[in-house]
Amino acid sequence: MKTLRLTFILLMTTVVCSACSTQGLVINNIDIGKSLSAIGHTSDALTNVDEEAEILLGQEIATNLLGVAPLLPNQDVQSYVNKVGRWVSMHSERPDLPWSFAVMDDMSINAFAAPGGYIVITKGLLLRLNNEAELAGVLGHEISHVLRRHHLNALKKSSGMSALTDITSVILTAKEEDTQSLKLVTAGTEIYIRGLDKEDEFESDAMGVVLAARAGYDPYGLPAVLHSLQMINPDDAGMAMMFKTHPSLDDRLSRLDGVMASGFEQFDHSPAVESRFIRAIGSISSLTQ
Amino acid sequence: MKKSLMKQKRISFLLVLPLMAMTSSIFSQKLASQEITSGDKASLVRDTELKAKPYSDANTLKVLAEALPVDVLSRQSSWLEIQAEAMTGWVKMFSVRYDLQSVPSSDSFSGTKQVFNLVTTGSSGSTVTTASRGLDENKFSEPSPNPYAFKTMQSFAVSGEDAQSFARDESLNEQQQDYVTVSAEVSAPSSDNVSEETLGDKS
Repeated sequence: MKTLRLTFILLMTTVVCSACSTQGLVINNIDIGKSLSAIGHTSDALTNVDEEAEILLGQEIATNLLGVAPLLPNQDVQSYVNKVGRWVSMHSERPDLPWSFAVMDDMSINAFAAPGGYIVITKGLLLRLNNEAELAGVLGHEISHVLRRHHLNALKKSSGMSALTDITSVILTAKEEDTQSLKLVTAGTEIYIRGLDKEDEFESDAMGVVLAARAGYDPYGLPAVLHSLQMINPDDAGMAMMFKTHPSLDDRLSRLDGVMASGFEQFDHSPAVESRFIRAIGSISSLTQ
Repeated sequence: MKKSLMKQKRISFLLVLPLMAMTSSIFSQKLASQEITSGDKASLVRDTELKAKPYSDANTLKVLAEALPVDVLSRQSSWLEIQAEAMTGWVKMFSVRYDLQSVPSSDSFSGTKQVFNLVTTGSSGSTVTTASRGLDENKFSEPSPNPYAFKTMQSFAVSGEDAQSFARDESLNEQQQDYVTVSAEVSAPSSDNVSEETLGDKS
């Protein structure tokens, strides 16, 4: 919350100073007037402020998410998942977000994305995968939720807010234990049990395979994971939440069929990177059960 | 520190070997009793060409009918190697949907079998269940933040340079590919090579 307060002060300083004449205002040899003028009159300025708020909100939501189950206590596996995720995210249109990834020590099958670039995958899902390309596809799907701000859109709908700037305003002006911002963060966490819009899930599938392909992986990793999940009983408690919050696997595969019907043959020889994946997760696949 | 972790990892792997060997013998017996089929159970969602090799221009062995049960033996990118009607060949992966194949299993068994399968076939196996009680939904609606875990998570993050070097280790070559989308109304293509969707660049 200290960061929020600091950001608020900086923002207010920007707003106040923008309103007054800043010509010739120079502090420590930096022409503040010129800088503020540039910030205030470009469309990027609004985007930057929104993105700053998005990251702050994402940090709060991810902190709640990590209260659900403990982190997997295995530095090697965590580092491995981060390397795959970071590499995939570098092939997105938002490579500079503070991307970080974590494996949650829980045998249910799921993965979560929080605004700003915070991605969590469960150990149960990780153990269902066969190679690095499948992991890249799953992470690519989650990364795409962040790229398209699906979470923020859902939050806007559920909170009755009309624009991203409303959320930005609440986050940037939040004070410690501020009721409105706490409500927003709680509502942001509840979205994981209600689920995103179905079309957003389809869109993330379509983008996820492209990101995996761009990163040099076999792009059929994600559909292979969806295939594999079809074998699990949907009544299984570990799958229930994922099934409740996502379109059916059959529908997702049908959509991907259309998406990948043309142009993806060129990636038929892209590597799946199986042996490195097996080496990386070998230490958690049976002895830590 | 790193050395000791590596040592631990080696020991872990050595410990799992006997378990894998044990599981391997169980599976050998299963394969012997079934003789022919050993793959994951699935069925076709459309009339599908069974190819001799995983290429579009490979010989077509037979056109298999929609809904035909098949056993999936392996995957090679967009192709699945299947066994059906006493023939083995390759079909496009989207022509196939897997059947529900869960059986009760304990955590330890599922893990052991999974290592076995990963090492030997690259398949995670069809009979693995999660054996999980699931995440507690109340913890999402009444969250208990864990700032320490979040800080730890941030410490896992890697630099772009590290990710690049990681990719180079396995010769992952970056590719050009625009985003692709399909219209909201989707109907399954009527044959392997036909798509009724409209492709477009979203980027």
